[in-house]
Amino acid sequence: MNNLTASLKKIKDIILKDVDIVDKHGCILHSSDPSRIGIVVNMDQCMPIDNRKRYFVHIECGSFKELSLVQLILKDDIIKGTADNYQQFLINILEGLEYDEEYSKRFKIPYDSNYIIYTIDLFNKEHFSDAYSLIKNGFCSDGDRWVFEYENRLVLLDTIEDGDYFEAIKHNAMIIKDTINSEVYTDIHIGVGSPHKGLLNIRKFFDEAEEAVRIGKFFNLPDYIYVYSELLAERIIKLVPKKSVGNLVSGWLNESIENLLDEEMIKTIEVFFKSNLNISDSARTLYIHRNTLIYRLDKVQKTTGLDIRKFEDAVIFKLILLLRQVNKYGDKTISKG
Amino acid sequence: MANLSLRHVYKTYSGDVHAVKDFNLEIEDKEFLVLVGPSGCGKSTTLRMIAGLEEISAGEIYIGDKLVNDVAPKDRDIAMVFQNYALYPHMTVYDNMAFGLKLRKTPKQEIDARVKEAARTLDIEHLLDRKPKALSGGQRQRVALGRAIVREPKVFLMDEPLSNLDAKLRVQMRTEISKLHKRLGTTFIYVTHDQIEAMTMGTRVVVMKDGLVQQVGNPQVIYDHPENLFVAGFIGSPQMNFIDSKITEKGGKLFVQFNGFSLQLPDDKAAVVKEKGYVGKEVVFGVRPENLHDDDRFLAENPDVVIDAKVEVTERMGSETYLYLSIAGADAIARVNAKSAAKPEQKIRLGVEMDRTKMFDKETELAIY
Repeated sequence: MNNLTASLKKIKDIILKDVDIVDKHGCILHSSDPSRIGIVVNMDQCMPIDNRKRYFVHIECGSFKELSLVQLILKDDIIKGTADNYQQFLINILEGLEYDEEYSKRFKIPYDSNYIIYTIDLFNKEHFSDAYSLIKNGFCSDGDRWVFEYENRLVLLDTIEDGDYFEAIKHNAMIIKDTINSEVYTDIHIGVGSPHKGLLNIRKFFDEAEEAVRIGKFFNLPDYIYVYSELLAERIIKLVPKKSVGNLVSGWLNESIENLLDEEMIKTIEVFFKSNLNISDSARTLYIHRNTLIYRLDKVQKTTGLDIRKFEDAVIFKLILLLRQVNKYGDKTISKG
Repeated sequence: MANLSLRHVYKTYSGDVHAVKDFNLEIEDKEFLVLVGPSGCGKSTTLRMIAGLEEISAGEIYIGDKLVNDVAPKDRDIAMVFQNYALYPHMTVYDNMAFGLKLRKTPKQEIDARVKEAARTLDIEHLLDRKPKALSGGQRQRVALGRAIVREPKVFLMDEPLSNLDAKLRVQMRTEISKLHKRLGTTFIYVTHDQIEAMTMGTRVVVMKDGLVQQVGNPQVIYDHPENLFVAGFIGSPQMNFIDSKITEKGGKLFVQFNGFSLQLPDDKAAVVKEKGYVGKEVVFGVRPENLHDDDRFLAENPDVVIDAKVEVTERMGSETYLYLSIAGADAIARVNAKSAAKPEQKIRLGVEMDRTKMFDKETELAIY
């Protein structure tokens, strides 16, 4: 903050006018003359600094050129300097600012730890502040988790230990979901980015979490918890150009296969895949006799020529199911929420 | 406290996925209703529709006399307990229970009264100052229940709350939740895939499959009188033995014939089978494991209902023994006396308690008797 004030003073010495940083209501937050802080100025004489238009530069009777110059020179410093709490600090990093380690020490957020990002998208935004309060007070009191609001969703930054954390990540997401369901009375979509090292890298993994939510919604994946690293097949399918999707599935999706793929059969196949092609486990989960399951799998083989008990055929069939969904629904998200 | 009414409730996701189809049920005030069924049967979706977490595609849901289709979840006077509960690690038990009320801006004095009352009900008053890590698994579960109790809801909704617990704690918590239901005198709706939980906890059980209600009734009625093959197989552990059979008539008597065996049907059951026109037809014959007997006394007293079987495996449970059998090539299980002398590879004779058997239509899978 001192750096920012010092910079504003230096500019004042050159242009001989007070330079202020104001919020979207015109209230002065920082100034070359600290006594001006809190005064509300005319927004017509302001120029936005950041893309989200939260901060503006103001020069009393300043020209467009002066405003532009100050905006250009101080943009990064101003945005950095506005991080007077950890939430703004993390938002600024998400928006591409590169802080040095001193800043992270100020907010007691380790610079080089391993992190995981969860994005939490509430079905009912009315409950946003309750959900924020729940996560902040319930789960973020140990100095190893931080929650903040960004682009109409909650973002949870969590530190993780090296090692076998994939199960723990999913379990944590389920805990967050069940807790928000029961305490805040709304459902949520949770996106989970890949684990990564270094605080300055969170943007990439935030984008992953967001992409996971988009993909999860599109493919109507269960539980509303979407882990980016688990969605490789879906991500690849989404990369296939629309024109090619039809060509790819045209040989597979004929009338007899569409007739085969009724609700019961799709559920059977999904459970079979989820049970790692294990017939006994699948039959138990579906609560059907082994022979019934074998009969259904034989039927798939007869109709498609693919024996999904074999790994390679199962992979091909999984891709066909995903392509079929893209072909059927195009860009339309088919899940709710 | 409240009754609930679900009328022609459907849940359909875009993409023609029918999660729940035409669900109709009247739930009485103070009832402990259990929704049970295999994975994907629609039980959790039904619960979530009652909670308001899922919108219903069609139908009506009433809590008390109030239509709640468009009522926000927080205004439905419900409390939910889910599988992945987590206590807030840095808060005391008191604060864990009070936190939800604080979110709702409940006055401090009222929070205090409710937390203490819930703690009394759950017998955890002495733990209120402790942090979660200082609690046993059972105590944590009680605190999790306490968080729901302090809301003083009309209806408790529980979705597999015991699934993450080890077997011993699960049995203990089953009893605790049943006791809690009696103590609170409130309506409980409980979802589980575990038919033992359903049978032991519910005052009434709803068995679901593929989004459809298969049968509603008290646990004993469902066990004794399953309405179809699915319910007969799903409820009961070990599950009911099913044998493809044919009904024959000889000298005015009806017999169940399978794999070279012929068992005479008791008169009352024979009358039903005959009246429904199954003579000469193929059916599925159902026998619960405990209705197969290998003791000499039963075999001597019932010589007309004896079949031969080969013992594949024996499981001695202490209080009883499970015999895994091959009956002329078909698999079956018998639950016999712990003192049974049967051994693997041994050929034995088994008596069938015909009064307790069931029979199902092979096509429709509906119960014939």
